[in-house]
Amino acid sequence: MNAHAPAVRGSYIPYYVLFYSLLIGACASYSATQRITLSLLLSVSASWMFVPVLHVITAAGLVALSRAQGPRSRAIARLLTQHAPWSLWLLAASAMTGTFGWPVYHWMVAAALIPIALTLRIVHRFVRDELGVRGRRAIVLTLAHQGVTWLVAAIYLDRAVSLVPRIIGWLS
Amino acid sequence: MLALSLVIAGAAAGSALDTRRAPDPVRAGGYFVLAADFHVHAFPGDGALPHWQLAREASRRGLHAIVVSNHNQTLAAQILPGWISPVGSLPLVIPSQEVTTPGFHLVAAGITSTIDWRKPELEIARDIHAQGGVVIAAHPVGRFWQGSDAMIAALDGAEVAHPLTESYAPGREELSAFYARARALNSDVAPIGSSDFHMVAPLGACRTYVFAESVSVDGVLDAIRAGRTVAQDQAGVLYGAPELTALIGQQQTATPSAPVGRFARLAAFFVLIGLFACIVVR
Repeated sequence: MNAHAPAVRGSYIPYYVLFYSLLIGACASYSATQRITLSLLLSVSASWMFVPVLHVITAAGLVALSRAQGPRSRAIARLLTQHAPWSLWLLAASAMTGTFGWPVYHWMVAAALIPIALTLRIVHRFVRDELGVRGRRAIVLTLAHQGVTWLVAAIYLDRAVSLVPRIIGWLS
Repeated sequence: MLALSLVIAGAAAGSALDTRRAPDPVRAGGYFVLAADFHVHAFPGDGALPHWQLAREASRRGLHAIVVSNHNQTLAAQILPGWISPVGSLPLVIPSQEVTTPGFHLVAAGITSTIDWRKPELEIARDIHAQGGVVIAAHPVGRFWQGSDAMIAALDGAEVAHPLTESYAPGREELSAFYARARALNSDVAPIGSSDFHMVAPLGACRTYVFAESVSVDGVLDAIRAGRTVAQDQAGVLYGAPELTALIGQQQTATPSAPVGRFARLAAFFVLIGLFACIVVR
């Protein structure tokens, strides 16, 4: 692993889970109710806590697959510190939809292309510079990490909106 | 540390400003008039809030009942025990499913076991009725409704007010045309106003005034079966039998979802700014 990487301890991982849960809780609360109370913050953060937990699991999988030397928890923590693109998008989407409602919703969904692209770049750099994986294998690992992340999201989406009958309807 | 203080202070101020609750249902024409939203999505699913927070939000928005209707599941309304929203307390949280099929979507209000969307359309309606539920056509416009006349005749209610009219130009006309067609096939079909709430405020933007004999889930479902409802769209326009819409006017209950106060919004922005600072200042 990169010896010059900024010092991040493994204890950042539980902080990340709590912080990201709080972020989702605040953003979802404001978008849905135009207010944030302690009760909303606690309930909604606890409900969506599985999202940062999944981030930790996929990061752990990536580090394990890289076969990099050194403490794995620090490597996982280092990847998790790179959450700014999605976090800022969440804040912006929440502030905009909570304030202006449906008219801006589709614009904010389209704006998600920015964190999607930035995260691809961040993960690739992390695999190359922090985990020391080079060339084609770095690209494969990056795509595998993002592929698994999006597969999990797609499975949740399918359960949430019942995709199968919709697809049958669109095709017919 | 300062950023985290801002988050906590903002949320505490938001809690202190969170005092708005729905008034008790008024009485009109010998009935209790309950404001209800019959199409609400919850967590876990494609809704942002769990059902107990939806109930609180419903009360803030002046609603007496919500129908938690996730796509092809009934888990969301039943995920935690009744002490969170005790049976009989307002707002009523009515378990349901948005039966999502390739040809149409239905809100199956008042059911507790999941309906299989793969069944033939009339069998779906029979299964809902067998559980004591009511069948409501959800956003019956364009590609969301390819049901037969026999299916329409089996409906207990149809959404005639829905926020889709803001983004889908022919929506108003299509919802009205569908409701007229449903009334021609079944004169008791109830007009329903729903917000189809997922994660963008406000809950109850479109709503239904229910003329119930009792303030209970059974009272609400019986009123739907008897067609004793008035739907209201986001502009405050009422849809329903003239004698019932007149009662709503007299009782002055037809107030659209009240906006959140500026101080509550300001407090929320403190939280968001605090979180922003946590992200950019490390």
